[in-house]
Amino acid sequence: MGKALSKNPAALLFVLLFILFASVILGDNISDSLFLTHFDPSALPWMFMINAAFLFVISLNFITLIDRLDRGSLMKGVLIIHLLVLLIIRFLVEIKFKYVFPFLYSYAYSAKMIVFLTFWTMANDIISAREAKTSFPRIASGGVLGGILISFSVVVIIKKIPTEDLILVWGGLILMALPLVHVVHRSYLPYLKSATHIPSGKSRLAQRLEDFSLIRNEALLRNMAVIYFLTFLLLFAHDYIFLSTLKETFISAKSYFLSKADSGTIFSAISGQDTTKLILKKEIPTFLGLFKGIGNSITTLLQLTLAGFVLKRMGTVRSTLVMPVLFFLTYSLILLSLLGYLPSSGPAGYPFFGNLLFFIVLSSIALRIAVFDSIYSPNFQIFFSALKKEIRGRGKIFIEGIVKPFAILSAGLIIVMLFKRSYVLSVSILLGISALLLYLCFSIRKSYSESISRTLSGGKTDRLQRLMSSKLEGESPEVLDILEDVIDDPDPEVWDFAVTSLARTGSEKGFEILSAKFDRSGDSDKARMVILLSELKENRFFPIFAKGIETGSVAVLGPCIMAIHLLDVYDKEKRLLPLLNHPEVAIQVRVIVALWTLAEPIRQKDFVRQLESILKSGKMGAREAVLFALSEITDERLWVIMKQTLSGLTCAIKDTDASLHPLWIRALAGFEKEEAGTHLLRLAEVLHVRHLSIVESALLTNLLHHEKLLISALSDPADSVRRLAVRVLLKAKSQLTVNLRQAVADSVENEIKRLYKLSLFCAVLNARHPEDEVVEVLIGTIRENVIKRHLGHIVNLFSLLHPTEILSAVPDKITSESRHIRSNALELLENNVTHRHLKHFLLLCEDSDHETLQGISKSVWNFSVPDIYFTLSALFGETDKWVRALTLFTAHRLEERTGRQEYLSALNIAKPEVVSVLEGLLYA
Amino acid sequence: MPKTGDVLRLMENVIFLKKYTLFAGLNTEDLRSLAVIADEIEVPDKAFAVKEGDAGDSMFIIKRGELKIIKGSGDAAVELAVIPKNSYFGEMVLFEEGQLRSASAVASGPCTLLIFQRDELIQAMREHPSIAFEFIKMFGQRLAKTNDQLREANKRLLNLTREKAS
Repeated sequence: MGKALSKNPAALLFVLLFILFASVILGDNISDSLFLTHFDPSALPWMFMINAAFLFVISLNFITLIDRLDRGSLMKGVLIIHLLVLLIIRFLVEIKFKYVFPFLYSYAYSAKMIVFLTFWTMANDIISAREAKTSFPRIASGGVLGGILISFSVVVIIKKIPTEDLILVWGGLILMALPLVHVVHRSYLPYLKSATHIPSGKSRLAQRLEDFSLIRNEALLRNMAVIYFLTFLLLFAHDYIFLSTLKETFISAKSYFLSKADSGTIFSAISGQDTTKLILKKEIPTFLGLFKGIGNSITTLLQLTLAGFVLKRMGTVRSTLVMPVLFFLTYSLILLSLLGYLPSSGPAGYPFFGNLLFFIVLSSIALRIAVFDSIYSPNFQIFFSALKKEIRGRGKIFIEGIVKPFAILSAGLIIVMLFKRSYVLSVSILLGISALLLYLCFSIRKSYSESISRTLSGGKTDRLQRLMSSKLEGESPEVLDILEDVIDDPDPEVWDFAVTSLARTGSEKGFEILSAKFDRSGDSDKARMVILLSELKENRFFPIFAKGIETGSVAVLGPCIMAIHLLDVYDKEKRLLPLLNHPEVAIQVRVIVALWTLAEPIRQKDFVRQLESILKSGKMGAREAVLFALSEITDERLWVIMKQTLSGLTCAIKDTDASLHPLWIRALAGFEKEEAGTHLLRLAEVLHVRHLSIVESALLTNLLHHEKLLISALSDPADSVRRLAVRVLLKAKSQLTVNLRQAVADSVENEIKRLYKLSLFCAVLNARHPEDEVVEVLIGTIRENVIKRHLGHIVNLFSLLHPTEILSAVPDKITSESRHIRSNALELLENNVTHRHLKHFLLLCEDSDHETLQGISKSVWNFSVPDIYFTLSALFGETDKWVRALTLFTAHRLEERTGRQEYLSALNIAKPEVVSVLEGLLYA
Repeated sequence: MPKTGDVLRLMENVIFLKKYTLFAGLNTEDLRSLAVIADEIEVPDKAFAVKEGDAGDSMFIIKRGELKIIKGSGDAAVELAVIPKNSYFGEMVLFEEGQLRSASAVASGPCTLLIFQRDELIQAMREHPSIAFEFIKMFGQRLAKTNDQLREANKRLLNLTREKAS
């Protein structure tokens, strides 16, 4: 097997399924023929039930293995065991053991199911959900082709090899599949590793109970099971109606067939045999052979051409509607025909003979076979990709091995019980079931999205979350003793833990330990202890804080004032007022903050004056102290002070002292003025990413009050400002106004256009300088610093237009290195967002398709291929400093290499300026 | 400002680190913090880049040329390996300050090395945790590889024991 093939999983799986399907179809033919040769056909209904039971038992055993073994080894194991069983069966046939035939009949059915479901589970592991939309129909077509080929071949082979010996050919095909499975296993080992292990020391029953409890707790699997059950129920009933109408139609056309009969049939009829039986025995298999041959060919054609396109275009959830709609229409038409609401006759001639009902049923069944094999079945497999890997295999067995046999049994019972009583009633019930199926398929979107969302967010178990959120309750004397011992630990984290835990006990003993610790601590420990205790806002700690005030130490005073400020104690003012004239400005402002809400308006005016004088004093730390006051007091009257603090600074970001940035943010957050919002937005351009979430919170109320500012922020030239504005809107979770909605919609379009432009630039650079390492790094940086970041930003914009919690995990996962995770994120988007540009966006995220991307980029921008000068010039206008620096460096290197000045001229930079511009970009 | 005092050299080193080294997964800003602390030295043919028994306080990346790793000296010298261009060595200093070099590295032809001093590298990791993450990834891969080798050796040992026993 060539390396090229192993790099293309779809091609490899196509060939493998071709062989497996051929073996299965051959196996079906052999088991059917041998059974019917040795037993009466009247035993078949019983065999159906035995098959279902047999499959159920095998599935029960297989379910504990499928997710706990490496799936490549499992597939090999399944095929080797299958091969050995076939050899044993051949031996039993040889010794003329009669009951081997019913066993073979049931075994062939179960082996088929196990081989296919192991195969498709393996395919799900290797191919992501997005790729599956185009790959699965093609892989499935390999199976159908294998089936067609073996069906035609059997006609020839059977003349030379007896049916019993075909068992060895069947085994030979399995043997042929083994090396292919080995190649798949070796090539995709990381994807096929087991996701969970076989628990040791657990009984089989306990294991099975655990398996079923996992399955039961997965909402998507429950929905899939119900859908699968109803689909198969309707499908078997459909088959029954088809066969019975076929028989009726052909019996009614007896004279037609007699007129065309060959001499053998006529001779048999003359010799007294039942002519009806003679006709049916010959005409029905002929018709079915023709019908299935044409049907399978059409299916293969569909699988290779339209199916992938339809699945991709319609999306996974909408594609599930295909079958229910078909069933609903079919049963509606059958019912209308039975009730006489349709014309009494259909097309004349073979094979309809004027029977409208048969025309309806035959057309619908042809359509159903094509749609089921090319769209519905591959699409149903895609749903399994949304399941966590550790239950994917068990889910599949549950559906195929347990739900399906149950559906077969139920369909059999419905047919036996209902159709014998009333045809119209039966079809009415089937119509009702079709409607129910349609409803369930509509509602599967929710559980599908939730399942992907859980897979994407990692899904901490409830138990783990409870454990993580549980807190130590230290009320027992032993715990208090331990805490008393560790409160003097030199490790600050242990110390903090001991103080917090003692404070939370609420006990007298805990308080005494804390008070004694406070007395013997140095100033810095005292301050830290006060800060920790102040977070609890409990009046019982007031004596400790009062002791802190009495120390007179500046380091302890500040935290104590702020701690008392948070308490509800009567002599707060009396204790704090004397400190208003403390020589340290930091202490003065803390007293102002603590007393602000208690003060009369006149006193508040005094406080404002005091703050002004502190600011004007020019003392060390004066600006920081005033900013602290502004960040703690929410009062629009203080805007005067804010303006004075800002004086000399065109914007808060110009403050060279970066340690003041958090204070600036908190201070500005207290004002709802548009100007405050503008300052906060501009901060996004320079702040470290860890401060951005504080800015987001600070902007929450401000931006929502200033729609114009928000709208302008959405189209701000700075990327960081646009991203910040969108995150603020997301955090606010409020309904968008009409204007805002329009602005967000415009943003989606502009951002997507911009990313296409950048993608095209990357393609142009790559095409012109494919081997250049600087260009390569420039392209990588454009993708990493701009395109990838903006993909998440666009998802946030989509979330604003289609508010749903389900998309919250998508922005981080849409650029994941794992194809499977990326694919799941895109599935969530595709099934929860309806936007005219969504398909363009999805294409941007699936970087596999560069050629299409380039084509669309050109059409979006009406470009002929732009020259590299234009590209460099446009990239130098980007706001990301690394894109600009690398663009300049690329131009510089190309100019040095080629001697052409156009590269730097395109950027309006003279050669001597290169170093200074680069320094400005990288060291500013 | 970079130690080289040359922004063009800094850009070249950022590109080299991004394109060819174990730091390829880092973004340009993180790479800048590495390029800024990197010293570039030229090592003539057959000169020692590090000597066995010296106290190690830096990690190296080979920008040009290749180095031989030699254990012992004089006639007892044994060549253990050849480190090709774009590879790194001396990374174990990250774990133990002043750890002695366990082997010598000798230039095989003229070489250019990027040197990262331990303290500066650790400081860069503190400021840019992604750098530390790249090291963790590298050590993780190495651990997995060692585990595989151990498993393989163990299997061979078992087979050998069985063969001898039979």
